[in-house]
Amino acid sequence: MIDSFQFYETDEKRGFMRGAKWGVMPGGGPLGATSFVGTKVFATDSAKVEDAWGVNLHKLVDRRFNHMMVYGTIGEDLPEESNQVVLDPNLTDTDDIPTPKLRYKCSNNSTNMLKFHVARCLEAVEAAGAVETGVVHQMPDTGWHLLGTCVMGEDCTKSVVNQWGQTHDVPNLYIFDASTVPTSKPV
Amino acid sequence: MNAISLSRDRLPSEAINGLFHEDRAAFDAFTLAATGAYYMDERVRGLIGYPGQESPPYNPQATPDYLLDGSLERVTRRGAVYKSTPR
Repeated sequence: MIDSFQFYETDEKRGFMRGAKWGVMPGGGPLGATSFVGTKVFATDSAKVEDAWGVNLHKLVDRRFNHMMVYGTIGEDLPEESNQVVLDPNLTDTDDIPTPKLRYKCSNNSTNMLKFHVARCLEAVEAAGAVETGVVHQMPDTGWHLLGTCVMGEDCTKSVVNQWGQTHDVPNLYIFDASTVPTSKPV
Repeated sequence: MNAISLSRDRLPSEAINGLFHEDRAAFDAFTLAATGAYYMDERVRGLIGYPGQESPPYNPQATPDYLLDGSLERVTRRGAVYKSTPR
C-alpha cells in the first residue's frame, strides 16, 4: 500500500476543516472482482442473477481482475462532544456489568470531507484511464479509529489525563494509548 | 434447508433468482461458496493466470521500488505541503 497526504492539510476553500490520508491498494484476487469491499454484484432488486452469473461472471472477472485498484481514504473527524462512548442502559455482559455503547454521527464537516475526497479519487482514476469506477462509502466492516475518549489536558474538568498520561481522578493510574489524543488525525 | 426447499421443483434460473429475492443471506452464502470453490480450482486458475495467494520474500530494510522508479518525482518537484507545527 502507498499512502498520499496530498489532501491532508486544512484548506478552508474546500468547505471543511482538516483532511484525509489516501492509501492505494491492489484490488485482490478474482473473487474480489465479483464482490468488492462491501459491495455486491447484485445491487438492485430489479437485477437478474444471470446479469452477473454464468458467462457474464467470466466477462466481469476478465474485465476487472488484475486491472483493479482501490483508494481508501481515512479522514479526520473533528472532536465532536456528541460522539461518545457511554454505558449501555440495558445491555450487560455475563457479569452484569454494563457494556460500552458507542454514539457516533458523521458531522457536516466529515460529510463534506468525504464528498471532496470521493470526487478527487474519481478524478485520479479517470485520469489514469479507468473504464469502471465504484464508490463504497463508510463501511462498518472497516470501522473507525476511536480516539479522544480519555483526552489529555491540564484542566481536570475537561480532560481525563495530564501530559504524562496520569489520570486526574484516580491516583497512580496511567493511560498509555491513543484514547488520550483528542482527535484522530487520519491514522 | 429453507434455501433447498425454495429451489425444489423450480428451473435453475427461477430457483436462483427466487433465492436472491426470498432469502438473501442464503443466496450470498451459496454464491460465495460457489464462486470461491470455482476460483480455487487449479485448472481455472491456470486459465485466468492467477496462481492464488503467495508469500513472496519481503525485506523490510530494502528500498521500495516506488522510491527509485520515478513514481514520486512529481511529488518531489511539488515540494512539501504540510503546515509546520506552531512553535
